[in-house]
Amino acid sequence: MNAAAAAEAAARDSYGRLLAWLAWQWRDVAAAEDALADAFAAALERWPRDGVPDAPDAWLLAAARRRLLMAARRQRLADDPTLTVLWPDAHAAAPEAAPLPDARLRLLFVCAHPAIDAGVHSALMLQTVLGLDAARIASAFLVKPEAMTKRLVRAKAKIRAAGLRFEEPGADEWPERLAGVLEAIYGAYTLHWGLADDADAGELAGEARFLAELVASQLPDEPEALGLAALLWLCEARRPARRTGFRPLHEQDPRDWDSALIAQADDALQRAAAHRAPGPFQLEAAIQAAHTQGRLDGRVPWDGITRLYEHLLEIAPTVGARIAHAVALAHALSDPQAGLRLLAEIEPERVAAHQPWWAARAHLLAMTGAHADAEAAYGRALALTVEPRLRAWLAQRRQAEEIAAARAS
Amino acid sequence: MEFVLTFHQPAEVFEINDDPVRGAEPMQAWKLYMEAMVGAGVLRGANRLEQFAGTAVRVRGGKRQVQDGPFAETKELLGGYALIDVASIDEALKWAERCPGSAVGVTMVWPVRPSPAR
Repeated sequence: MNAAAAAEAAARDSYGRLLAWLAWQWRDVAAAEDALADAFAAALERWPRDGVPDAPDAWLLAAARRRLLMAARRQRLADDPTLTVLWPDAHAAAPEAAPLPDARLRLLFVCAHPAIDAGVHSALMLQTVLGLDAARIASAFLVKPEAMTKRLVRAKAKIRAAGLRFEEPGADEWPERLAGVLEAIYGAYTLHWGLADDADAGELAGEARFLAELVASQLPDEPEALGLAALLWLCEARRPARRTGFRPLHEQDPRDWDSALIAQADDALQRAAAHRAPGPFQLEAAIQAAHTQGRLDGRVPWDGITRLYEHLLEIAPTVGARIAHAVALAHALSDPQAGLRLLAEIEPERVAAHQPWWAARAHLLAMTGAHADAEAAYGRALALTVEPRLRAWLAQRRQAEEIAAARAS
Repeated sequence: MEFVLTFHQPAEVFEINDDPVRGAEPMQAWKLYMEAMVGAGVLRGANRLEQFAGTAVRVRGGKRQVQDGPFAETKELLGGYALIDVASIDEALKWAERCPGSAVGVTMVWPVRPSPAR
């Protein structure tokens, strides 16, 4: 890691810690953000002149707290002009003991609270814990910047108005609440697949990975938290193989993979499995691990992968899992028609504009020898994605089917 | 909800698209894009426009002004439009992103104002 990246990582780490701590104390994410932004602005002005303080975090925290106190005083005086500025202040207690307790997990739980619209969980995490600005988040989610700003403001107002507790959830609601956090982090990770620009995509994937690692490190006994971290590590381990162009897993060269990261994921998966409580992220990671190992062994264990998908469908029958299961089953049975039948069972309105469904259908049609139909399906998949490397690969497949169809006729 | 997508592209892009050889690939992409919108059941209408042949008509103080386009105030020319019917603005933005023109020009997304009860 170079100096700039190290500085950036430190800033990212410290922004989330400071904001989580302030928001936890004040129960008000929006006010904490404003105060912290002011503190960072003051630092930019002061530090170059006076030098960087010995404890930059403590300096920023003190500055942000001063802002919050001033704002609170103004508010109280506006609410009740008879109050003097000497009202007792619970927040003005002694400065925080170092090191700052890490409240980021609590903030994540608040961001993914069931009272907040699930569609905004990921965006809220990216903004509060990682400090991404609304415009960038809007681009990543492909929504109007103004609409994203509104959604975030509304969510933060709800946190304050509903008095959502900044505490870790109790045992009764723990599994559901944790699932919400993990899903939102995974949602943030998958956003980068839609981004054509390598730098942006890598950065967003890195941010999501950071969150997944944060949760896994704070909850080392939660199998699903380990499962999510393992899943992201396995995906990230293969990133270098995608740099030169999109390749489906079975066409990738394992020498391009990051073997240390794969080993780390395997280790996390084993620790998760010891708890004997499988969940969607562990299963998805296990499927990725099976593919990865299969590529290394030269033989993909389609039977095992199909069974893992069946297990996954029992607990999380998502469209993505149903598509992947159809392909795995077709390979396991060497029967593309069986896979096509499963694809046809998915409701048409859910897949009419869903690129993976069309690509899977094209792949299975090609296996049956229906090259003209496969060509048309690849064409449809092509029109539904903007990722340039995936487009290049789909166009190549489409052309191959076009040639095969012409030869057959 | 109805939206009009307008496809704006620099003049040189239209020249390439109109060329039978260099235009083959981009026009194929446009064809697939339109077919995908039809297949998804969202397309209500679409047309290409003669982007170099626009004419501007203004009436100022009762006086007519007629001017031939393309017009200097925009570098990108309006080459066509599509009317789509989708569930939300988010979905409309997704179709705009997929438009082949978005990679070389800009696709604008305009919400259609609902007309008074018919």
